[in-house]
Amino acid sequence: MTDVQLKPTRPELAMVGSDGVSDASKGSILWQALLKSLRVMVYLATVVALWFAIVEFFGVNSLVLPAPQAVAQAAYDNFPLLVVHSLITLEEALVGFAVAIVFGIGLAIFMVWSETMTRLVMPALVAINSTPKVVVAPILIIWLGYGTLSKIGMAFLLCAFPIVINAAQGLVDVEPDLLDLYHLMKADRWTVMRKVRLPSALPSIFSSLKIALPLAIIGAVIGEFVAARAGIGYQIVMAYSGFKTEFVFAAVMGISLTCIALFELLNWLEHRLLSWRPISEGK
Amino acid sequence: MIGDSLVSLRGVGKSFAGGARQVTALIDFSLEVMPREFICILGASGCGKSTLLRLIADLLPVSTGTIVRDPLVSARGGIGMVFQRPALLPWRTVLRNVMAPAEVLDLKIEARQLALALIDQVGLGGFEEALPHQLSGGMQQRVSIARALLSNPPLLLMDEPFGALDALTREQMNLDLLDVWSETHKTVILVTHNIEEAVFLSDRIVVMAPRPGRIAEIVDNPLGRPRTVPMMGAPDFGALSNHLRQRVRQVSANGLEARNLARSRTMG
Repeated sequence: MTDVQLKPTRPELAMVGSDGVSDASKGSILWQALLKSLRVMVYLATVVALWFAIVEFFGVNSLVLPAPQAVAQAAYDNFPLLVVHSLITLEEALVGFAVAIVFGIGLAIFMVWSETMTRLVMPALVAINSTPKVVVAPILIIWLGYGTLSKIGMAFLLCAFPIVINAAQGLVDVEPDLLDLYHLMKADRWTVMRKVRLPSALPSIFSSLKIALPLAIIGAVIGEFVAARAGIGYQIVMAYSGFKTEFVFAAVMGISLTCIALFELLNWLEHRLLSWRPISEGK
Repeated sequence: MIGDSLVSLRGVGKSFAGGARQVTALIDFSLEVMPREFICILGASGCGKSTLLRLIADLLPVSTGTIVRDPLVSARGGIGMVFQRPALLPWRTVLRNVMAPAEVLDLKIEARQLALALIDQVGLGGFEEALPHQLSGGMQQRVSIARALLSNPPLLLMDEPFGALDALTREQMNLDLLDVWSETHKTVILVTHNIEEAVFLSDRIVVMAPRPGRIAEIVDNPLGRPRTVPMMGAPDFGALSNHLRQRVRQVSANGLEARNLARSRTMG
């Protein structure tokens, strides 16, 4: 489900060894997808079976580790509640994520344009990133209140840094001859940004988004842990203080599945947008 | 005579501030580039050839001297440039790569038609929709040449354009470049360290001496046109090549000698 593939971000590196291999036939891609989902299902079934066996065999206290069927039952019984609160958390995380993307890429653009900007911004970024963000959560809640805003703030805070750094690096790592060519045509810097720098930076921006997306969800959940009236993090805290371990498990698994689904969505989007890359096909 | 030249370089020099010490890349370079001329700049690495092209293209400011460009050349899109690496946009098709200058220069003419014609002219007909990574190095360089020609610039600057290609591909590229040159009536300044290439292509050859980069000799190429492959085996081709080889070796050795001398002085 989440095959994380590492590939060179620079196209000229990717070129090595893949001599313009044409995409595999559609049939084999379908077959591969089928095999892949079969693999995932076998994997999941094994994990659940093992879990079941451990609980049954060792008679584990259901407060410590509830049986899989108990978790499934909890998920089934509380399905509307889980969905509603997951959606609240998801919204907080995604808004924070979106703001971080706009802010991160925007800041990176200014950093590429102005060295003064880089010198001004970098120390602050490093300082903020070195602070354990979990400790900042109470401060954010004092500032932004108990509602969604403080959670959006947390999501943003956790995921903005990798986006800024990767985007800035990607915007700088441009073939120098290409820049010369555009300067020769007396192109303004916004044209160079749009036509050369941003498309060149897209691969590194995408890898940063894959790091940032789970961080955004973590940020929102941490915010809800500290103080909230809604959201899956809030529900987990409530269930945990009420010794409803099976509910906690159901909630955790729900949020993980959502995270995986979003990650896959990003992967799909990346493949779509970067289809020009020599080895982005298949697998 | 001077009034007719397309680009006129007079006593051009360039130094870079390299930390504590200054590095002189080019010194006292004077040359009149005439319209439709094919000039090769020949020299070992480190003699300021690439710097020279960048000065002519106004990508770098001169430190000393002046460069006077014909208004046609100094206009936007008045210079086409080809680098050693193709420098294509990897996410764009061949056609869209060749058309890239049109977006920047707001070319009023039908850029697409022109691009298609140019792709055909450089021998890439049928590859319009291919992506750069699907092409060989030589083909990528052809795309880069077509792109440089899109704005119909009077002056084409080429910085070791075939340096990364194998010998056979290089020879074919040379022949095709001469075809394009004679059909389009461009002025070409081509930097190379390949002596045979310089002899085969040029009207004039500027031999450069290194450290600091300067003109060692300007040689008029006596070979007639059109140039053909058999001419490479002719005695006058060999004679000119030999002369140039000797000159290049000589000036490089002098440069080394001068450097060693300077070093032994500072040591002693």
